[in-house]
Amino acid sequence: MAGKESNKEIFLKVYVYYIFFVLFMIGIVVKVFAIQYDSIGDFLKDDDLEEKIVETPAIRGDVLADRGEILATSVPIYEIRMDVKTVKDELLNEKLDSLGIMLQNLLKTKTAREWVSLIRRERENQFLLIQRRVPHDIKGELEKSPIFRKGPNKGGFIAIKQIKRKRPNGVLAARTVGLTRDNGMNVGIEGAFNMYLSGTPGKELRKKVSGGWKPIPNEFHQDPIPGYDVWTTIDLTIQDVAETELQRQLEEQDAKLGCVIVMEVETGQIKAIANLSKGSDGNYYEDYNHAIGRSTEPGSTFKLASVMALLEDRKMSLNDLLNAKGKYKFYDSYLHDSRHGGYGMISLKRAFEVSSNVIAEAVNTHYKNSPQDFIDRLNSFGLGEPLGIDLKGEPAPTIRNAGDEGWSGISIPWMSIGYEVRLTPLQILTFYNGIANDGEVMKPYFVSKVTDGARVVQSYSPEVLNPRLCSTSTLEALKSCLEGVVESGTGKSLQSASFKIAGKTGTARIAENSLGYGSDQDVKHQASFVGYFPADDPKYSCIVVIAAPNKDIYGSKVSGTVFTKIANKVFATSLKFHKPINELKNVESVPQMKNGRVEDIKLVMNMAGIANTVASADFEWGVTNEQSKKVLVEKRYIGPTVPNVVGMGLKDALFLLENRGLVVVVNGSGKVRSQSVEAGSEVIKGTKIQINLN
Amino acid sequence: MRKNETILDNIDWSLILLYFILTLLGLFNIYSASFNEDFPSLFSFSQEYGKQIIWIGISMFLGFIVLLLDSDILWKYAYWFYGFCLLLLIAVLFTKEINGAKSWLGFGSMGIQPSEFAKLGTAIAVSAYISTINIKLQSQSSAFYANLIILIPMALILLQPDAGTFVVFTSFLWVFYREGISYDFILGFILRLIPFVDHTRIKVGSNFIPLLVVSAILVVSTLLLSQTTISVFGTQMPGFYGLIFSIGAMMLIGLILVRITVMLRERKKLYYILIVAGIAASALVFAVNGVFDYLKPHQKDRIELFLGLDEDPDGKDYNRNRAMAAVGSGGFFGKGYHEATLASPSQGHVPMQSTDFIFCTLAEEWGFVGGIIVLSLFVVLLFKIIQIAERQRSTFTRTFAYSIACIIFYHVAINIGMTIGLAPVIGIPLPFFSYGGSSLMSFTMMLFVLAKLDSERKNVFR
Repeated sequence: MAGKESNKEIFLKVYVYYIFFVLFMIGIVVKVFAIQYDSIGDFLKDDDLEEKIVETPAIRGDVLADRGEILATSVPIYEIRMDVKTVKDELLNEKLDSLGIMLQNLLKTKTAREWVSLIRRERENQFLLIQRRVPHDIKGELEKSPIFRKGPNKGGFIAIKQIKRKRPNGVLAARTVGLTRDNGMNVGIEGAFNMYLSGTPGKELRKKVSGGWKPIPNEFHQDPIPGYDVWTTIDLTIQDVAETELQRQLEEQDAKLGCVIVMEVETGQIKAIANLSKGSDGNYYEDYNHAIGRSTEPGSTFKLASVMALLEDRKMSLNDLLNAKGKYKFYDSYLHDSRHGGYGMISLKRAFEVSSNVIAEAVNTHYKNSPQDFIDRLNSFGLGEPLGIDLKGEPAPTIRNAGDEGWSGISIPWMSIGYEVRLTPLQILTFYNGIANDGEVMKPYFVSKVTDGARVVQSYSPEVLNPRLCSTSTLEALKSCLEGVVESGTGKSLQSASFKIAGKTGTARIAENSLGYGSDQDVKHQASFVGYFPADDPKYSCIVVIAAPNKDIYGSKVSGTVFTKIANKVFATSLKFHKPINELKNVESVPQMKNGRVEDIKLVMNMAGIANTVASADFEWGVTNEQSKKVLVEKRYIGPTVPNVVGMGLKDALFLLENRGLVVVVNGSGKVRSQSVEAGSEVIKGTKIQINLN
Repeated sequence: MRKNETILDNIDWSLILLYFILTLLGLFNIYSASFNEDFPSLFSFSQEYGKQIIWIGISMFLGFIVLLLDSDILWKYAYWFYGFCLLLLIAVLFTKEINGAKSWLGFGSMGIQPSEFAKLGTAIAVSAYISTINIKLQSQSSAFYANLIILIPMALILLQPDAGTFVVFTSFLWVFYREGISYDFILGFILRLIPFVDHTRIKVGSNFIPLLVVSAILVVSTLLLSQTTISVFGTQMPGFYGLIFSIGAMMLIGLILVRITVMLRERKKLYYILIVAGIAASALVFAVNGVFDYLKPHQKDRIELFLGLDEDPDGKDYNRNRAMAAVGSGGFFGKGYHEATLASPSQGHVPMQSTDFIFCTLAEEWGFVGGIIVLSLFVVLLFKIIQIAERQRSTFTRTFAYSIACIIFYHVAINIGMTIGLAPVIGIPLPFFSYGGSSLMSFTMMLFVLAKLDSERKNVFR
């Protein structure tokens, strides 16, 4: 077609243009029409088109120990899943090996090869679990891995944010601190104080954007309100000892389970609570709160209540003699003393100290004609009532009334030595704590306050359950009994060099559900020791219960040793027991003071009880002038020039100098004696200034 | 010649009117697309609509100047303009990257994009070259130089990189087509390598360009469809089968049209051409699909990325989905001015909705009807320009008219095409509608230069 084109050809060409224009226009029209009418439904039902209102989870508050150590706090974790189906074959073939290596290195749960074969096998899975509980930083790395890098739609990467409770202090008091569970069945403090801890979820409008949901500010927006912090009464030091010693003893005795509670006598605050049970693998785990939730027959520790009843009802006095012949018959049943042949003629006090079952006979003698009197008396001590603690799961004590179902002629003697009644360790301890607290029964509690930052939202103070447990004379008598147990009775091995312990041992046969008390070959015992220390001025009460020990069975040997170790450690570390060697009545001479911020100077002097006078109130920096009986604080001029820091501490000097852009070289320690750049000279930023301290 | 009289008398006022309508519609569309409640006035010069007013003012001023100038300087200094544009294109390569490309020259928000002006400069240079007396595009050297003129700016634009403008420059091939360029020498060179083909007998002539473009469209369509499946009466089959069906359907329609419109003695030849074309097109589709399947994954990745098939880091797929959702939600009559939700500036999530995806706002607010009206205005404009081109005695003016017709057509087709999923997502503005000073100035000057040249159609014979 070389040469000049004909007109016809030109026309044809022009039509080509016209046709192209029109074709394209028709194409566009058809396509727009198709979009608007054919696929409009597709676009609209596509949920990623919509905005959605999401609840943004609030950060759960912390559970703290009594001095603010964190027992439980919240950190974000992620559940990583993969939509394998969405990943294209080519991408998968090319990059799966490198993804496998990344997963191996980051998660360390499977080898690269295992990952590759797993993902291949789950080719059709749209929600393949890669790993649960992935911390934030690892999730970030995963997000950058091959395939996953392509995002959720092409790379199939799914990260579900969750909030995990972490226990920076390990398992300490784990069960009491409690758990948060997805199903809402929270236990322990986490459960009981959930309303404070949980906070209020926020509301947020989110809109789908490339690669995720983008929060859009609007009028419905609500920021989540973080949960409050719950301060427990737990003392981490005591808790640590309690847990360590309990674990050691359980392992030594190869016991089934055990628990320890330490309570502050005066207030009823729980300072430590430990629960351990043997898992199927032979290790011990804190998986149930035995201390507050496991109601058992307490055994001999209950004798305290029986003796108290006898004394209060004036049926007996401590010096009344009893014939402890070692074998006591009630209808057709017998009770034996642990020492074969008994103890001969002994006083009631002695019977208590050696834990003779002659007490059962004594109680039976005095109450068999009016059994309900005994029950009423026990109930008057508050033993029949649950404590009403904050935490869930406290069973009510079982103390039958006369004539109830199952009541028999041997109920009174059996009850008097702690059988046919069921109490939790905490209920027993509360009773003993009442003795230690001079008859005032305190309600045990676990949480001292709830705070929102510095603001106290709710505070809990000690509560009295029973202001007067018994008469003073009975109280003194029982105290002497409890001391006697340790001095010369079953608890002799518990003696401590530096302070006196008072308490009671208990060795009870464990009733298995169906087997009764078991055959003689297969007897299981529960050894306990409950008491308080120091005996003459009780600060803490404590109960140790160990069930099914396999080496020894007696309370003093099994539980008493734990008690002693805890008591010793608490005594050694608690300042409460140690009076200051020389309490200063008043300051004879005024100590040297540093110059510095007036507020700080005042604070220090007020805390130390030093008389002081501040010249006037309107200055920030002061010079201290030690006079004979007091400190006079005068103003130090601090202006825009190089300040005079002589006489100040390093903290204040650094603050002032570096704020003015000077580079400080520090020499020595103590008070500033001299400065290399003269005060009052003009500040040149970056100049070095040397300060000498001594 | 009484110049003062002829300018006003001979100006094609319908062209100018079309320009004003499109520009004003564009402005009001931007006013909605980037509306900011804090600045409700159209004349808020801190906002895109306020700035666009300034750009319109500057553009019209430039257009007015163009009308006053002596048109001789255009072709006398054509290569100087061209050279100046090339200098700007080189200069821009030394600037800082903005959004991954070095395409802005100037200061902050009031910069210009040299690539927009390069289209105008190249159009003038191409027109000047082709209108030179001795140039015959059928000759090897003329074809070579003509192509060189467009290849240099294309190369520089690719360095920015600006894929969109690069593609727009291929519109000049259509100008060459009108002027009868022949690539037979290249074709012959290639065919010589194939045994049993007598290359001397194959003469495609100026039909090479349409064939090339049709082939290119077929290749791209095949690739786009190769990863999809369609369902025909319940049977699943690869997506490109649809393309084969379409080719078949078009052949049928073509045959029927030929039978109805063409005289008997010419039918045979056209039947023959249609059948060969249909078979060749189908073969091409199968071949491309076969080759693509044979490619290694990373090569496929690259092609898919280029075509916008794969989701790349910019999320182009997503952008287009949102854009299509906005278009789709407009319905027949639209939601009304300032009533867009999906393409609304405050709560919508259509990206770049005042520039590349401006059509969304239009389609959502004015619906199918609004979209068709604007589209029709563009088609009328293009027809008008071609009509103007064909009434010229001057090759220069005709070539220039074709140049700007093809440029505008490419812009409109690709811009709207990418918004509604007919074309790959390459960011080029919709003429007179997209926010932006450079493109508006460039398009304005194109039209006003054409108007000026056209007004002198009776005066000169170049």
